[in-house]
Amino acid sequence: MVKISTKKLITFLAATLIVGMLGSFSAGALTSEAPYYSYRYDHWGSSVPTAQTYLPERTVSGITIGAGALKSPTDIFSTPDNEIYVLDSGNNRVLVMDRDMKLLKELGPMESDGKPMSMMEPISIFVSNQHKKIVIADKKAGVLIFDLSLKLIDTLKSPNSNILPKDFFFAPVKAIMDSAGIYYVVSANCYQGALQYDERGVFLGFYGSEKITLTADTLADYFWKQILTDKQAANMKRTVPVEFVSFTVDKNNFIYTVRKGNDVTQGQVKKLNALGENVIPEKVFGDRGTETMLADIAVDADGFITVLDSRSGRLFQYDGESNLMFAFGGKGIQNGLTQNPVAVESLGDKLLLLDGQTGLITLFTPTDFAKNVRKAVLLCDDGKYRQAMEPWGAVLKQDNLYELANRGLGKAYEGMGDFKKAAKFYKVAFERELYSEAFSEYRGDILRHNFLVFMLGIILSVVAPVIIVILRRRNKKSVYDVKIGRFHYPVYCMLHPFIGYTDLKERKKDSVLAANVLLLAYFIVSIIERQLTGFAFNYNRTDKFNLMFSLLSTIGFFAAFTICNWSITTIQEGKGRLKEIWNYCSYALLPYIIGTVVVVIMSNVLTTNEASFISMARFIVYAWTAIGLIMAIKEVHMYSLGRTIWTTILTLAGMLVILLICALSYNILSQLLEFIGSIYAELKMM
Amino acid sequence: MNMKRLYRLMLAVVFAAGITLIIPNAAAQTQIYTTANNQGESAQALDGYQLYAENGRFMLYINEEQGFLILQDKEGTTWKSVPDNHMEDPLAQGGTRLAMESLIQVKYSDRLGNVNPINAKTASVKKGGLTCKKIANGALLTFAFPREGFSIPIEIVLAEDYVDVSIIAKDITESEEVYKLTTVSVMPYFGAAGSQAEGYIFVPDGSGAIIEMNRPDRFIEDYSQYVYGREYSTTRIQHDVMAETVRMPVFGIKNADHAMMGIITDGAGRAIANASVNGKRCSYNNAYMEFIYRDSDMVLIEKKAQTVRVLEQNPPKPGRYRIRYFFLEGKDANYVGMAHRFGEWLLGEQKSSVSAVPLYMEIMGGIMARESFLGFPVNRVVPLSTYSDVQEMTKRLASLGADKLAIDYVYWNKDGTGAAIPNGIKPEGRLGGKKSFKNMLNFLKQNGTEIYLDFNFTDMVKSRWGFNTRFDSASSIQRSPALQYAYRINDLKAILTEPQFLLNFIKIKQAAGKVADAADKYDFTGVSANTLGQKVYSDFSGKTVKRDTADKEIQSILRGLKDAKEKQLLSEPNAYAVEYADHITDTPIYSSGYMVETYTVPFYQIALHGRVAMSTPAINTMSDPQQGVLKAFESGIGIKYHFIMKNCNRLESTPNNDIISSLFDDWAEEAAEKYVEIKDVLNTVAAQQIVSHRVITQDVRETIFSGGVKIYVNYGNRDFSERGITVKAGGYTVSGI
Repeated sequence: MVKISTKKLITFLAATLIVGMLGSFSAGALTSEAPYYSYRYDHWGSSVPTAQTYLPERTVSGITIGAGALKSPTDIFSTPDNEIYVLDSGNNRVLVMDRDMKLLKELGPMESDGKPMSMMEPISIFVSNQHKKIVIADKKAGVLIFDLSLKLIDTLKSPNSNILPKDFFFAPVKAIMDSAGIYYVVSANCYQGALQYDERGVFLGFYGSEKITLTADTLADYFWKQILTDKQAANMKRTVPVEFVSFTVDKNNFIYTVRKGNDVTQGQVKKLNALGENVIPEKVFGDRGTETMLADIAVDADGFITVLDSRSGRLFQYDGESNLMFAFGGKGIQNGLTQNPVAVESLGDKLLLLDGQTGLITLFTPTDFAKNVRKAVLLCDDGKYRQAMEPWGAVLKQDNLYELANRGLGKAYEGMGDFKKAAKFYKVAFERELYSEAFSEYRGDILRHNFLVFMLGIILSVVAPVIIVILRRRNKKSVYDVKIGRFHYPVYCMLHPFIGYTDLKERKKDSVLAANVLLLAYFIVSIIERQLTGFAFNYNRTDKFNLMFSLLSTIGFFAAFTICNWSITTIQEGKGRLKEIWNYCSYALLPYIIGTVVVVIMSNVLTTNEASFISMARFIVYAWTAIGLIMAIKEVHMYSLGRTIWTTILTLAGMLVILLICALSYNILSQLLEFIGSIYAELKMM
Repeated sequence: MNMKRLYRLMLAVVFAAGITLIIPNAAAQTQIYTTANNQGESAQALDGYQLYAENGRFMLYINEEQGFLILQDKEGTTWKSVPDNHMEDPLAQGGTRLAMESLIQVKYSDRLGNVNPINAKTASVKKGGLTCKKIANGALLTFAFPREGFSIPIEIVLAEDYVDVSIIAKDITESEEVYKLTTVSVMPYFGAAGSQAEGYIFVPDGSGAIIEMNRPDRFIEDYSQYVYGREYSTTRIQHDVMAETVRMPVFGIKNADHAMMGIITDGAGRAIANASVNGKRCSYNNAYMEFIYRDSDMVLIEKKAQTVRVLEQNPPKPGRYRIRYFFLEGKDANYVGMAHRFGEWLLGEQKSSVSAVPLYMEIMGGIMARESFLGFPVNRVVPLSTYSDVQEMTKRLASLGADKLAIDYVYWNKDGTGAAIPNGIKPEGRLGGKKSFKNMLNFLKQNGTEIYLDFNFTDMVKSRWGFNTRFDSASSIQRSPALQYAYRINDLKAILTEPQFLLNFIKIKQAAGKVADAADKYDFTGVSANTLGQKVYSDFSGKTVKRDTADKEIQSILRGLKDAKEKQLLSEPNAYAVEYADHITDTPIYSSGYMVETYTVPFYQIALHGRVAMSTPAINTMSDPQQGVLKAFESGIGIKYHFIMKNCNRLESTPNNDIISSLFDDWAEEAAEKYVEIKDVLNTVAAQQIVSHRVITQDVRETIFSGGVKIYVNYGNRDFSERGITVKAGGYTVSGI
């Protein structure tokens, strides 16, 4: 009955299996300037706290501004000169406030002949002072175009166009206009993009629709649709481009679109140019690893994008490169929280958030921290990295780990020629490429300063093996005359993969001790590779390391391979005994062990530009190991090459079966334990 | 759990299952309705009342037929359990009107686990369930609920200047198997103020908050908060709202020139502070305490993907849950008067032992983190501030002019954040070891710097001999260890993989005893058992105590720790712990900001000022430290900083990743500067009481101390002027010094 009783088991398993844990906070650590945390996502995609970024300065209601309570308001809009328009839908009116949230006027909609009219289901409002128009999207009545006194001028209705699908139903939820007077209208359940009208209301076509790209999914969909009946096909999840939920326009006539985000994991927000092409990176917008429902977008004069998630009530602010700067907010009945947030709007660097349920408007003001982030980002955009150092420094004082700041400071130091410092900051910011560049600069310095040592090292490491080989060749005897020590065989087999194992089998000189030492080395080396590979090449979380997992993936894997191979080959006339397979195969790992160490060393001195050297080295290591392994299996069982490959494939298949069985029995076992645990809990309650 | 036991258990289960199958489920399901009856009788006239008790100040009248109560304060006004004209209230429904006529309201759980509210008027008094008895100086009213089978005795006793109202918990009975009593609200409409009243409700949210009555722009929502926070031993998979904790078991209502306040003297750990405003369910504004007789927990059943309510098996019988009502008149009838009365009740005539306000610092020693050692991962302490770093910090601050320091050193101990429950004083090698630790203590002593060593006796990270995470931890209602989670910051869901445990209070006593015994070996100023002051929880196993009396248990532990070193520092302590503190850091300076609240007041600080030395929370973790300085001025308390010396990068992806702005080098100069700026003013008022506190606007406040010093602070971004006094935006003005 109770979950808790199996917690220990779950804890243990999770601790051993799950690598990587999300960022957390302890319940007691709240400094309650606001009833929420500001946070960001770190390099690993975990949410981490940051300093408070926006705080609720004040909350106003219709009553406090003297206009009577708002009733189900649906949208808020601020003009470039900071007049605030609130679409008070339930009261069939529009309220206009100045930047201090003082009521300027209350507008009631009028027909073109001056008679009062009532809107049906107004959803959004857009005001253009330039064109002296107020555009209200009414879900039932169409897009209503008013003059600034809210007298109706025109109505945009469903266009008569043959490019519209048969079942098209016009239900505008958002309408905006650019400085050229072109209208953009989002209609609910319309997947073709936004409808575009010219200033006289003539339908121009669709804008910003997303192209369907050919992927395996769409192909499979196509396949199924051919087979299934129409009804079944209709039930399938549709792979049509997704509808926009909101959009906005900036002063340069870029259109920003946002989609709900429940279907895509990144690129939810797009900044579209006149051709409808996205000009910002398709990064993740909104929360990660949890359900989102993006609802509105606001872009301020400095180009910062703020996105509202109506499900969590949070606001996310992004720079012009789609980098999340911070997120904050939430749902509730405390100051700064909302119950049903419907619209966000920027007011200078402040933000307005409208709650459709309570009719309250919350004004959020950036803290010094947020102001510094914004200032520094703008300076960096202009390439003024030196000037950005001061605000970035202030940012780091309040959040020691703020990634964008570390990146910005890295850039600044790079510009100043201090590559060592630059590399340090890039490393904290997890900027591998930039780190590598900076590193290559000061690696050059190091090389120049220690030229003699490096040359000596290189000469020694190249020349010495050559000399050794030459010396050995000189007193070379026939292979069969060489007396090779029992513990010398691994090296011998590595250097002579084609005759080494034959020799080994003949003389039966394999050693379990040597094999186990090699396996231990293999295990250690795999950890070294995971943990010590140079930063520029290491994509592992070195701070989240799991010994159990490493053990399973190395020695566990090896053991499974050996056992499978043995069981397969015994019925395939293999001559190798289990112990022999174990020994031979572990001997074959020696090139991998040595090669990996070399690769790890290389990864610490090379830069990403020279990554091909590392790939090459890796290839050599893998090829060498693979050849050794195949020769080992071939010789231990005295197989032909073809048969070796065949049994190897069978072995791998066998391993898959073992894996399946393990997973299955784990599942059954855990269910059993849970069952027992719940019985125990029930008994305890009695 | 060994295999043999398991086997036996399984056998038992098979039997039990068989038996349940044989015996049919006989008890029929019953539905309960609270009848909406519009024919409640009016209680305006005093003629239905009988005088039950009288002393020099109060007269207690009771209407035996209706179950109404009137309390006449001879020095003030008349307080009624049923608000005047409640029958004419256009907003109140019939059910609400009956609730208003009820001296108690209860909630109970039915067989389906649904919690239903009923009021005494409907379910008891109207059914003849009320019996009244005169006792010395008061009355004993027993409410019998015939249908639900409850009998709940309430005792009202007059004293010299207060009135005690208690639920006699040990005499509560439940006779019906299917109905379980969960909570009892005491006098929910006592002192309720109508729609014309001018005044406010004081609620103990954080530092304290005021709900002004009948404002036209009020936000109509109930206020409800658990005293001392929600029971820690309940399942909390989802972190709910981020709110301040109720640290003081007190509430009050001010109505014109009269005020009443209630302080929970017994059983505060199982109380909920409630307030409701005009417009929610009636036109009255009321506030009251609700006691949890039987706690419950929502448990997730994974298979059915639903949660069920699990009820506490044996409710504690603490004797009584008691509220003490005080009545304030004239110039005392406000939140300052309430705070003084509360402080007096809490600490009597105690005077602060601290003469000069120090600069408070919380220094964090070491965290247990995964480090790479030759490529191999090892768990070991990553030093953030070593013992010699602490010396460096004090030297540096002294050279910058901060001459008086008080240090709360946390995670200084062996294993840092990964430590087991302490059973002695064990320095950590990676922070410098024993010798360096002693050096540090000597150095600090010579410099006159107070150092308090933090001991965490409550949170178990791992087992130690005698303190096992499984067997010595507090149990949840399901009788398994109560797991304590950290939460993900984006979806506020618990991280289930690394739970912690709470040590039960018997074991805490043992551990604290050992630490107290070992305290002589080292020369430090005192202990700071911060979590003991902050957390009070139940052990539902029934083997130790629950929250009704756990506060008393903690008091005796804290007394022992204080005796060991004479002095003690506590961070944001609950009311029960305050008397054992010489310094209180992290006093709450905010309320939760519920929209029903009109503004925040420094009730906590007013109550304790001059009695205990206090500080703000660490102001370098605030978005604008200057706001913290203003908070310090507003209530005349010291400022605090949170420091680490190094390795801030290592905190990422640890549970302590919220420590992001504590690097000493970044803040040292600012800290010293701010301290030097404030210390003279604060030293002057340190021993004085706050005699007046005024909220001039949301942003501007005026505080007057008993010595005549007036401090104005302005949190806003506009300058403020009034009667020749100008307060700069984000600044303060001091006069009368």
